[in-house]
Amino acid sequence: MIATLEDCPVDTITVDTMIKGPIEVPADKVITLVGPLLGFEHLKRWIIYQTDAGPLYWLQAVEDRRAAFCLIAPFQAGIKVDMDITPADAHDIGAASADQIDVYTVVVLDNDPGQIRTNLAAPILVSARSGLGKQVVLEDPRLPIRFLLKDLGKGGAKAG
Amino acid sequence: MLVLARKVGESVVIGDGITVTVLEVGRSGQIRLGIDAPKTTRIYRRELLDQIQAENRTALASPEALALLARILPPA
Repeated sequence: MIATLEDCPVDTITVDTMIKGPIEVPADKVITLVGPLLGFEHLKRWIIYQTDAGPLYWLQAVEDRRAAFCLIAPFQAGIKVDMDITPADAHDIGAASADQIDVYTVVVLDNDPGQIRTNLAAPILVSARSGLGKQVVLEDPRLPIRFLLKDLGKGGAKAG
Repeated sequence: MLVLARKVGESVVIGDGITVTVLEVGRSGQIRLGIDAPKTTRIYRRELLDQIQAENRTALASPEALALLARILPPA
């Protein structure tokens, strides 16, 4: 008989990741993208994990090992931008307010380190509480699709 | 794709609340469209979505990704 909550086994699933091979994650860490990653509309279930502490993360599709992306948390990384997250976007992912939303942007790991960049125009919004996320498209001229990460620390956003 | 012919000033209604009106046809072939839609409906130029889709596809990580990532991590 289960005596305490601590005795309850946590549901975990195994996700085969491109970067680390199969990893065990708590089932409640799976994110469902209610607004898909553009170009990958058929993949709904993802996990976000880290290989090192810091602002860089990995987005991995649960159902397709090849669908793996590097993400950066732009505010955590010190990228100085304003992103207009609407109440409708927050509502779509089950977040009560913008401060309950984790913001990530997709990183392109170019072979030329000077071209490694992130897309500030289409961030991925995630609510850890609801397990829902979406990629939004922000039509803001201050948010480039190609923000060079070599410019981090120089202040402001510079289009690549 | 549904193809309809409209003249300047004429509209099409899409779904429950979206109206697209042809406002003006310029001499250069550029067409000005007026779009009435609920505030929660996002409207984008197609080429912007195509750019983002292309950038997402370019961003697909490869097994070498961890090594490339090391180049942008700040020195310890």
